[in-house]
Amino acid sequence: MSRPASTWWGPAGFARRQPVGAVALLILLGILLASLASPVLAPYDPFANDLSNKWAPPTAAHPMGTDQYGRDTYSRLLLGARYSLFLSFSATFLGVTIGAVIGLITAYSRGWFDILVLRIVDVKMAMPGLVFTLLIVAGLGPSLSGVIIALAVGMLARSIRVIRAAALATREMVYVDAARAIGCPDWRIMALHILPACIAPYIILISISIGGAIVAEASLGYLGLGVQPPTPTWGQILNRAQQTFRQNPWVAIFPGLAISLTVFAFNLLGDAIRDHLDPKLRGR
Amino acid sequence: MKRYLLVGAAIGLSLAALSCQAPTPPPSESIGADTSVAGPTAPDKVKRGGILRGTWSGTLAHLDLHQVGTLGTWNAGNLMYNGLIEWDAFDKTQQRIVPGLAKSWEASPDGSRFTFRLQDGVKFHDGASLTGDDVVFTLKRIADPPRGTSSARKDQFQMVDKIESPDPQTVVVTTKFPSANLVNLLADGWHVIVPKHVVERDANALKQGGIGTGPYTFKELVPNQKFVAARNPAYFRQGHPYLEGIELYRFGEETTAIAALVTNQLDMVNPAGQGISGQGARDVKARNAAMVVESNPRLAIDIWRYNVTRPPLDDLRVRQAMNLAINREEYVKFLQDSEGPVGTVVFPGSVWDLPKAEQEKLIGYEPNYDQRLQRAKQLLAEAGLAGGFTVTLMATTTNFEDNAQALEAMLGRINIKIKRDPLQQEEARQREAESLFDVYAGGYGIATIDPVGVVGDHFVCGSGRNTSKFCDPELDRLYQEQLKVLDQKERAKVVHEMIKRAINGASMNIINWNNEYHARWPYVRDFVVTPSRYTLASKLEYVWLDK
Amino acid sequence: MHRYLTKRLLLSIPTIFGLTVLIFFTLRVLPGDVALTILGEDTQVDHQRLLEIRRELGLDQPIYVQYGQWMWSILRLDPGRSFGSDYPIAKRLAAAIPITFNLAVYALILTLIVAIPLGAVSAVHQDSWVDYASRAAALVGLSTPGFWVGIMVIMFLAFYVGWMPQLQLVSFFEDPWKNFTQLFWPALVIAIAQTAVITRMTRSTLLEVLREDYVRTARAKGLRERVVIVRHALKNAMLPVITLIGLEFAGLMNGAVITETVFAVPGLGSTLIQGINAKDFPLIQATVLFIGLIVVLVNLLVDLSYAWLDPRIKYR
Repeated sequence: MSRPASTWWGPAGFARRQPVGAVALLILLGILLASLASPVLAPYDPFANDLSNKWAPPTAAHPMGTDQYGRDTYSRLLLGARYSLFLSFSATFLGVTIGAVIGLITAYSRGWFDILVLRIVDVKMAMPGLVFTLLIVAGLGPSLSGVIIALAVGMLARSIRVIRAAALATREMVYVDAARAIGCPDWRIMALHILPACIAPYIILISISIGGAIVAEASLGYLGLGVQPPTPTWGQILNRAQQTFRQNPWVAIFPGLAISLTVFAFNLLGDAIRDHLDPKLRGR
Repeated sequence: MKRYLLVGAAIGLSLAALSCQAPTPPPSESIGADTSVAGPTAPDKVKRGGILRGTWSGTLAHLDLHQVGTLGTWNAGNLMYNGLIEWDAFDKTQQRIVPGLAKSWEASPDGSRFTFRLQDGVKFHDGASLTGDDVVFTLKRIADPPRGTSSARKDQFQMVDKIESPDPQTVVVTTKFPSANLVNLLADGWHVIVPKHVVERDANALKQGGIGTGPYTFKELVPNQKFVAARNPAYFRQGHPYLEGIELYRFGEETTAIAALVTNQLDMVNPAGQGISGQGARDVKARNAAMVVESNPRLAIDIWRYNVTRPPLDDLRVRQAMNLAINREEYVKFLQDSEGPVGTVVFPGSVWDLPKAEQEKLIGYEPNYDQRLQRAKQLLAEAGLAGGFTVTLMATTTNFEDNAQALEAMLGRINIKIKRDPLQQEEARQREAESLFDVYAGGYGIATIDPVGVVGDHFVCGSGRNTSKFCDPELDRLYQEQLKVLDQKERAKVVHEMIKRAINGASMNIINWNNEYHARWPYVRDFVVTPSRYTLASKLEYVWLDK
Repeated sequence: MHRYLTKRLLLSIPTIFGLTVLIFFTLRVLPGDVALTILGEDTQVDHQRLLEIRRELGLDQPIYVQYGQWMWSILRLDPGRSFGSDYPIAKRLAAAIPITFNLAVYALILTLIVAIPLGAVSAVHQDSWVDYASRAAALVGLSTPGFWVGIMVIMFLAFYVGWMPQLQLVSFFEDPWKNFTQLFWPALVIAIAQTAVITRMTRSTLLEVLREDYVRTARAKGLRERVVIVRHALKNAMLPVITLIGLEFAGLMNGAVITETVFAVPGLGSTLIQGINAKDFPLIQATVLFIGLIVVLVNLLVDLSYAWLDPRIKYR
């Protein structure tokens, strides 16, 4: 039996019970704020060329070095954080929410629609995620919207399954039968009982998916199939990094560190949220 | 039609004129070794055998040289075939044509009938003998391909009227009008002779393998990975090739290729195509001082061009203003893989080149950049566009960002903004061919050192590659005039006027002529880089390994 | 048992069919023109010829007809030739498959020899420093993008060891040691992400099992702890782990696609990327389909072995 969703453990409760997660949350807020404040924080214009200073190693003037056009890597990373985070948030939110809605509908309707959706989900899960994402991006073309759609579609399957399962579980509850017995209309049952039961899994899904979205976007950028220049997402910055690592290894190192740190924090946070909202899963 | 006549006459006349006086070839610089090659080493001093391992660059569609123009196809494919005649492997002035499958050739006095006498005893790799029928079949395949075959260079053969073989050792080509261009055309390395009996049966037979007359026979092809060819023991040029075989390996990026080279997994970088970047070359030299690294000027240019029919680019003042703001030396710094002299529409250092003082008077070449910017702003103001405007830049994705960064930086100084439109290679070329662009940035290979090479193709009103749609009656007049002048010095004067007209017209703008770097182990001998790739040098018949 | 087998086998068929539909129709949204790729870089485009090429490749026919033609070619086990280059796809895949298989086997071995013991130790000594360390390490492994780890490895090897990928991959049967050294580093990079996942899973499953009644019984009987863990707990914990390995096989393929590109290993992964860059429809379809089929097959095997390993579990 899952815990009724009406118990909401507030931020203070969260911080007390999941200290690691709280720290991760703080780090992430820091990164988010830094990215939003990038016009102020960045020492240079991320798009400004300085050809006399190509491929500079980390120095006082350029703490993370410069790239092939002399652009400051640190400034570009700050701006890139904004794009990468925006991309990942949008894709995750889009994918998980649409998946949740579909999951709810199928759980409620049961019948041929349910079976069809389940079959499609099964088929999709038979294909490795990145391969599927590559297909879509290859089809839509490398662009900001293309990447968001591709990543979002990749998240649909898991979201549909999880929310559907949660909705189904609630549906079997005695009190739902009771509600129906006393004549409560379907939509009220949905809103009052089933929906709230799905909130916790929904939040968990989002928090554990964002990290994967960031890594996926970076992989696409590396392959040249992601967002196109001059937009500096973290993945895009790494695009030509391998070709030129002899000239300047630093251009490859820093964006990767930024990605790893951020995803690490998200994963910590995701684990903490999951432990917090569904203690039955603790220990995984 | 008229254009081909004139181009042909020009080439023919200039060849005649130039054969009296050999022009100085533009200099190659080498880093550390004397790599000047006067001619091939005497055959008795050559060591035979060994396998040459090199890189394989450029995209590869397949190995049929008639159907595509991809560099990867050329790299590998050309080893297996010959043309009727070839550009000499050892002539860096790109003037001399030597016998290929034709041992001699002559033109009729009126210039419309060309007779080629074939070499004796030439055999294809499958043992069949080469006859005039194969040549006829091949040329027809290029000029007028049958259904199911494409011919990438069909246009160039428009003037051909008849191709006949009165006897197995003779081929006669008749043109619709007198053309001295035909000989040069047939020397172009792409027009290789293929076996009729094979291709007639299966039009796609040459795509995955190759049956030709060339110095090497096909052994193995793994797409995007490697190509292996073995020596043809029955090659018609007796004693050649010296090598036992060739192995070409595809590398995703230069750093790995260079690492393979310095660890001796390769003998050289690309033996018949693109070289490596300057940075890469310096890297090679730094890691092993004994390596031979040289930079060679090539008949290839990096350019940007305007579509002069699209406002506001249809106003000459606007284009000139843009050219004033664009500093070529700065531009070259943005182009990651491009090195070479900043030049105009003729090969730098050639007899046709403008003296420096003259060149510095051209719009966009003046040394004082600040003054240029002032003048640019003035011109824009006169045109009523002091506030600036936006143009779209179109280019292939491979070099798009470099160009975009450069133009944004420089044009930004006179308030012009760039909108980006990067496209995949083929799409970009297609759009360029149809003049669907505002500003296009890219590069071209040039057919000949003669002044008609660039101007004839890219500036003359209505000519095939003049995708800028530039039309200047004065330029056309100068062009016609210089075609007729026999004396080289006099002709150069007219050419100089023509250059000025072309540059100041601001339609196509040459950033630089490309120098290409090659790197190899010192035991690789008699390897020559000619200004054009499509010469006999690429067939590696003369290369030998001194070990 | 037999009914279960048959049921699962039959269920795979619509899955595979669905896979082909999914792959085919996703690709047809591709913009850009493959016919142009064929005509090449250095020359101007002949419009007539362009139309001819399109007609030859069947690109001008309605989509369902194209799909039908493709399905028919798959059923005949002849995926045809690449667009443009005409290179036989079967030949290309046949060369690439053993290499990816080779790589995957090494990656899997590396993963298992680290992940299972680490997960077990972590679970048994829950909340000890070993546990925290391994959980942290696993999380780091999950968080670092695979291609970046690959680039870092290459950079490290290039700068400090002077190593570089060999031109020719030596087959395992020719020289097993050389083969291993050539594929070790890419396999390691793939293994890092996989180890992270499987360590976590092993740990959590074992924790659950250790709480089960039969474990308490075994302990009460006075059996030594080691026996309890290995003979009872671990064996039962292995079942979900095996399931997970099957599910993670898809992850292995993901890792292979990226890592092969980074290390220039000519397997299925780099073939796929090359196909995408060249807009080679038939090659992309064939490669993705093949990868999908392998995953379906592995999952099927895992399901079957699961049923066989644990006779307690009844399937309707």
